[in-house]
Amino acid sequence: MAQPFFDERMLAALERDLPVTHRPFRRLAEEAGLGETEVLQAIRSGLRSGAIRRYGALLAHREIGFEANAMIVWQVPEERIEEAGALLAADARVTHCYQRPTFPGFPYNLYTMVHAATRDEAMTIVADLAKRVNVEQFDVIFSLREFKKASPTYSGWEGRRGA
Amino acid sequence: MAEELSRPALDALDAQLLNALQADFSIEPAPFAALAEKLGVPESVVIRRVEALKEAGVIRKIGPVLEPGRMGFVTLLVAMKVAPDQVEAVGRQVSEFQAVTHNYQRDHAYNLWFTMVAPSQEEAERVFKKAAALPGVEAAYPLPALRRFKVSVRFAVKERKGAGGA
Repeated sequence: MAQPFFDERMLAALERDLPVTHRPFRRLAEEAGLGETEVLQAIRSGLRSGAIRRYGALLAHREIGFEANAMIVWQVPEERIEEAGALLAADARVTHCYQRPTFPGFPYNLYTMVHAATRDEAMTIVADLAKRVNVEQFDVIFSLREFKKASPTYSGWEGRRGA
Repeated sequence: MAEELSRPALDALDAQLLNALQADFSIEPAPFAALAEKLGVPESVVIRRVEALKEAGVIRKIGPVLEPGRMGFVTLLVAMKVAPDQVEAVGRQVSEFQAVTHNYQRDHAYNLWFTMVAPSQEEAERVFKKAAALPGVEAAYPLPALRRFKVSVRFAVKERKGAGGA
């Protein structure tokens, strides 16, 4: 198994919420017993290598007016999945697009997420996506209630790594 | 619409800040000063605004979005069918697992959907089995990503008047 990209101490420092201050990375670094330059370099190399997808603000989508959270599941013939996945992924309104296995009573194999202000707005987007991707069998599953939405935690798992 | 009243108003500068903070946050010693320069406002204004947006719950966090696989972690989506009168209790219990990141009741016969980011396949399986064994769970399916076409959670933020007139 590949070595994790960051050692435990760096990971724990990076995962903290960045202080809002003039030299925030210096503050993060000092609190972890690391150097500011070391932290900046770790983030830059993480971004370059893809170990960090992006660095910046994570927003609460409900608070900025994206109330409707629609999971659209598509039943795509196996030979079209590549094309359909690429087409949906290219659309800016789609935040996630995954191929997943089907299961009893659920013949859908391609999953996309769309966030919109209202259900009506989400349905308009879905209708447009359906037309463009040319898939007739799909379902739109809205969230009724959010039980949890949290950033993953990568540091602090007991016994995971020696570092 | 009562809920609408509690939504914070976002002016043009807030919207600009939120979009810039998601897209091109500088990885350099003074990133808020860099942002201030880009937007043509003093750094102190940027810092005050960002703090207020965090207090209002608009910004959850400033930090990295890490690639789970590169951290040695596994991800999993789980779909469950839960007896309607038990969905609240099951939803709450599932949320308690550290590995569970998103957990939603959804408008479907499969009414509880959650995602995990777990430090090992064993931990993901352990959580799955415990969740599937909770009272009221009638069916549970692990749905690993067979292929990822896209993940890009960024939101285009527009200016918004506070409905409460604040």
